Amino acid sequence: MSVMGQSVAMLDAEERVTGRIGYVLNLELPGMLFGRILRSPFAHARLASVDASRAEKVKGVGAVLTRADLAPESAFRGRYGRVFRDQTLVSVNKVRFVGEPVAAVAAVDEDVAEEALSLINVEYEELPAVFDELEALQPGAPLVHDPRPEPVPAYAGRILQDLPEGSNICTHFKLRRGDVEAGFLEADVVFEDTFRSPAVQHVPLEPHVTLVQHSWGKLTIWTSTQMPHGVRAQMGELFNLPLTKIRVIVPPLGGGFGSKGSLRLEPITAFLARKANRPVKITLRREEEFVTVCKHPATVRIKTGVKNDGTLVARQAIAYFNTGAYSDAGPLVARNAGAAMAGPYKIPHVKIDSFSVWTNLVPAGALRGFGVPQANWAYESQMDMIAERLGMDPVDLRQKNVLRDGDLFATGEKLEDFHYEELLDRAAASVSWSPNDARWLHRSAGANRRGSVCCGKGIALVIKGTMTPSTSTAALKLNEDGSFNVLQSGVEIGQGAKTVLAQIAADAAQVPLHRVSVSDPDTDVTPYDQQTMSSRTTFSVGSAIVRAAEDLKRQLLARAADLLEASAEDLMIREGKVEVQGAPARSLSYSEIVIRGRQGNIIGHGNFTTRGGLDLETGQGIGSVHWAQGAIACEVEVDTETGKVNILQLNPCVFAGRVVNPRLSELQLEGCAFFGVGQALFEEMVYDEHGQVMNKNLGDYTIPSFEDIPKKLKVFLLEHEGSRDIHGVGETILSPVMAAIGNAVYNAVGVRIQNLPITAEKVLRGLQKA
Amino acid sequence: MASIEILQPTSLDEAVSLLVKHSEEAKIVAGGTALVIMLRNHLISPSMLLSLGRLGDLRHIRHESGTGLRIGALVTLREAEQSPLVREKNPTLAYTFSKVGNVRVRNAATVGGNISEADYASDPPCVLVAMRARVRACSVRGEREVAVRSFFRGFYETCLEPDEILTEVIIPDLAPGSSAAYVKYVSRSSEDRPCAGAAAVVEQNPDGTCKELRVVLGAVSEIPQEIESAEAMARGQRLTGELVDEIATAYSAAISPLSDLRGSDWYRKQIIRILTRRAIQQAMSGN
Repeated sequence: MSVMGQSVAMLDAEERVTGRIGYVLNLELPGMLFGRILRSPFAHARLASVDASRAEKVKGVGAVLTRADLAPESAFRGRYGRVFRDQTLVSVNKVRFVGEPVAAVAAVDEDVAEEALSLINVEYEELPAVFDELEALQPGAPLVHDPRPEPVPAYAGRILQDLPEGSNICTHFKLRRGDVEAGFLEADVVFEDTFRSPAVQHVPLEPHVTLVQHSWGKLTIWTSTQMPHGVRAQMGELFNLPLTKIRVIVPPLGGGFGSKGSLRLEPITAFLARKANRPVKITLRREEEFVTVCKHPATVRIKTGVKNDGTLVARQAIAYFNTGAYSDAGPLVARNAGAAMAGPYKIPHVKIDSFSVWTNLVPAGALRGFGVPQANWAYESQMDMIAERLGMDPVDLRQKNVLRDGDLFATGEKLEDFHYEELLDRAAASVSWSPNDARWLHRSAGANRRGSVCCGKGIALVIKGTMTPSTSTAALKLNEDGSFNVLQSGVEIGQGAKTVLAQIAADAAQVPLHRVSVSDPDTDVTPYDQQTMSSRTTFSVGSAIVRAAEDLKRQLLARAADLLEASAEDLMIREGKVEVQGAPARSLSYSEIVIRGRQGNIIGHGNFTTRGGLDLETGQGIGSVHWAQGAIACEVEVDTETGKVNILQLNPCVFAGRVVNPRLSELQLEGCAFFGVGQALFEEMVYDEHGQVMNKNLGDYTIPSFEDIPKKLKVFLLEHEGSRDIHGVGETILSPVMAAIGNAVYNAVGVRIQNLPITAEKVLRGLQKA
Repeated sequence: MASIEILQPTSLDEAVSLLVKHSEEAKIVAGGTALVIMLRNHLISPSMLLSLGRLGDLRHIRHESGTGLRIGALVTLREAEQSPLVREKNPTLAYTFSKVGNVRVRNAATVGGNISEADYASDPPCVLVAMRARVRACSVRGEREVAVRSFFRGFYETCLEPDEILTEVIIPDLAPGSSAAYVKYVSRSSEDRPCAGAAAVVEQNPDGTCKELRVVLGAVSEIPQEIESAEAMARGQRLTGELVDEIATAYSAAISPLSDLRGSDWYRKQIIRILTRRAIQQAMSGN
């Protein structure tokens, strides 16, 4: 029986629960120094002077990094960035947010490093700052970057280049389909609404941590990153080193959720290690996590035209993604959200403008869902508002408009393998949805009330792409005892990647699971993978492994043909052996082929590349190699006296294509759905009027506890019979959690919240207004 | 963190004499759950910590008839919450301790530390005030008892003198015919500190009228809030739904709540009214 489709327990479960996983956090090297970072107290200020002379003299200090190290006359310029080279290792001319690194020190311990930091004298000249993404676009708003930073060459042709100087617009994604104005004329009713999402944190249990050793001109970097090869490439450019001189090693991470998907501590740590000529480790404290990266605050204005019968005819959306002081992945987030902003609906006329905008806030980057949560909060909340105005059941309204096989998406691509009708039915059935559950169709008012508590149900759908184009490679190394090393660069973040990839490899190579060992990324050894993001690892690295196994099997057949003196066409592979068809006695095990053929190893190589991309002016093209499809239903109770929302049940349903490991997939979905509860109800980074995060600890910024898990959280994985296509499930179901809860709150008490989070106070204010 | 000297006395006498010697530069530490966070955030920077960890004699939980429960300052919140004696003699108090933070915190944090810290957003203080608890404070000058009602002075401020150590909390038994309740309200995560907490003690006459009502609101202001004029409305009256509503409204009107990330002053005004009512009702239905 194939190991595919089996709920194999995580292969590292025992190490995990006994605390033996070798996280970078636990790694130490002899002679290692500890780095600490001096951060800006101002949101926007010119650096008048930075004087570290006293810090350098502190006993126990190995190296100090200031802008003097990046001076124009030095060989090292120190500019980097994922899309724009808008970041420097430490501030050079000005600081752009509270928390920006201004200097760094490596010393024998953190106390000495802290003491040295306190002796660095920085003079700031404060500048006017701008924090809100809409205010940043007003004429005369302070400019965060002036002149515009250069995009990195790889993105030069993939983002619009004609944006004006003297503006805080970082990028502009456009999607044009049909004639949206004509569409609105055709519509019977036009809805125009604005929805906002705040900055929130990823809160991985393990903070960002990096350890770098510099030896004989080579940087060895142990780091908590989701993009080992991306770190290597960017560090190569930054330090002007060939890729062979940079080795990135990534043990399992203690969570990431997108926060570890760009260069973070690697440049500063490497610089200090090189300057001190000793290994240096930097571990962020939780309060530093809060000023390192976050989810984009966003304002989404969405205008939708519908016929009286509920048919959607036109949608226009203008979205502003507040990417903070540095663009990081912001341009890609704005694009990803823009491409999916039409939602999983057939709409003939669509016009989307999705901007990333620089402000003086903490840089925003990837966070589970990559912009789609902010878009989905808008369009799925509005779908229920449309249903109410038309007096329709919101499930019927969605059912009427969902994309089906053969339909064209807003990007113009033809869709296959679409399952929204079934997903929607499943989700609705999971909460026993009936039209009466729509507040406006209540046959008997007050039927949902018990004492001060009112119940309500809500549903939302989502469509989300996976990064396209993208590339994974893998190698399968067959050893002389018949075991396999799978060399690959997907990162184990706790999602079970190594377990699932081992299942795929064992199945493809037709050997038992225990014969397979999946590597962690090590860029000196393991082949290229783009990054562990976008729900792509099982699908993309898994596909590369399958191809590597095919290559390996071809080689095995050729070798075996020689040894068995048979023609390769007459051979077949079965259960770890090559045998002559019809004569199973004439066979060789994998091990025998390696040993008798004096091969040492046999290595199979696999590459998996998806193709696609969207036109810059129209957003037409291939947005995603396949589209992740999901539905979620929930039931809440709202205390009408306090406004507090309690989630009774939350049931995610996703189309998963072919499921490799059902239990791990369910766990992914459970975690992902629950991850959304905090964002829906109370998570929010709160800034004061100076741009300082006021709640940068987990006492003031709370996340849900286990006691907040809904009593019922039932996952449904829709598998397509016979499908070979694997769909990643890491992120899909986060996006619609917020709108589903918002819709349920509305059905419970008639209060529509358009600014996340749906706090008890906002609900109570709404109740008192009503 | 600059290096800190740790003093570890093994008797209360030694502790108070060390404290009087170092009261300028030392902070007292027991469970450390609050103090370490303050140190890490540079809110305090003592050069010495006076640890009570080796004091063996402040870990008692006793009951004395006529006096009530006596809980040593070093009893952890978890021990107090799980103590069969506390649960039997004062279930509302045991429940209150069980609502603080999470189990990891309660396993380390102590009863004395919780009271001495005087964090406004904490569960036990308002309950102790409502129950007319007293604390004992000890110094080289001797011992004294202070009513918890007059113990809290402001944010993180108590009436303890710099040379005093809180050693014990004494919680009198509820008068016959009395019942109590604590209602905690969190506006965010289940493990959050209270947005508001309400403690109520209702003493009823044999005829069913109210002899005495005490209601104390926690986490809404710098220190626990008790509105005597509103409590007086109950005296000799039957606690009907209307009267309870009036009392709750009077509490809401009389308290000027603070704003924080758990709720604005406006919101807390609404919550005070709701919680006051719920606490009284729960106390009345308690037995």
